[in-house]
Amino acid sequence: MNNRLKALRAQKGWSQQELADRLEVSRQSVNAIETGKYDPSLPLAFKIAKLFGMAIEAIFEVSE
Amino acid sequence: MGDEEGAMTSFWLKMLCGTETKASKAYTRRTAVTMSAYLLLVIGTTYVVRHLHVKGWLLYVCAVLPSLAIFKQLHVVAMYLREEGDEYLRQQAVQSILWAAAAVLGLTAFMDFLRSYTPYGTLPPFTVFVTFWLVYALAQLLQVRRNLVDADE
Repeated sequence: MNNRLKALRAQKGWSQQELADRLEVSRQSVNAIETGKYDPSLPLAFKIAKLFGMAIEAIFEVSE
Repeated sequence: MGDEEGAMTSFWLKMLCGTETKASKAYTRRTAVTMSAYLLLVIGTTYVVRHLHVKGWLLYVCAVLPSLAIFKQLHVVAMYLREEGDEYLRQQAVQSILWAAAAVLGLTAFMDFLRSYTPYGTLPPFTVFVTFWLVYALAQLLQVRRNLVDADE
């Protein structure tokens, strides 16, 4: 799965740690999601979408 | 807990988990207690069997006692998996458990084969339990290392 998390975080000017704190997860989790090593669960994906005020499909997309 | 002891605990938590969470701190504390109990039970029962020449059903009781600590340690792991709110860290812990299980099952299968068809293949006492947790710790360390990122990224 591809995602725009890194770009969205950069737009907000947040570090990985700041984003992790807002999502109440570890910085490792944020890094793993950004680099595509880990696909978040649906609840976490909803949390990310809510934080950025976007729909899930605007942040995550299934890779071809 | 003193500052120095707290710093040492923090160091090991970062080494093994990469991230300190409330659940990982509780896991470390519970593991220290359970492992201490395991060591005391192994040393205690070994002493009793060797010096008091225990036989019969009491010997079975002595054999069972250390395994109670092993059950407790697996309960501690289950508690960690239930309490850890970070799903990625949970997944890492499960992966490490699988690596440890694979190592131990592979080792015992190999040694069983050797024991069946050669004069070799007997593992020293308590090897399996120690191997399991060593491989678990190693797998955790490798995962932490794999996830290291620059602080300002």
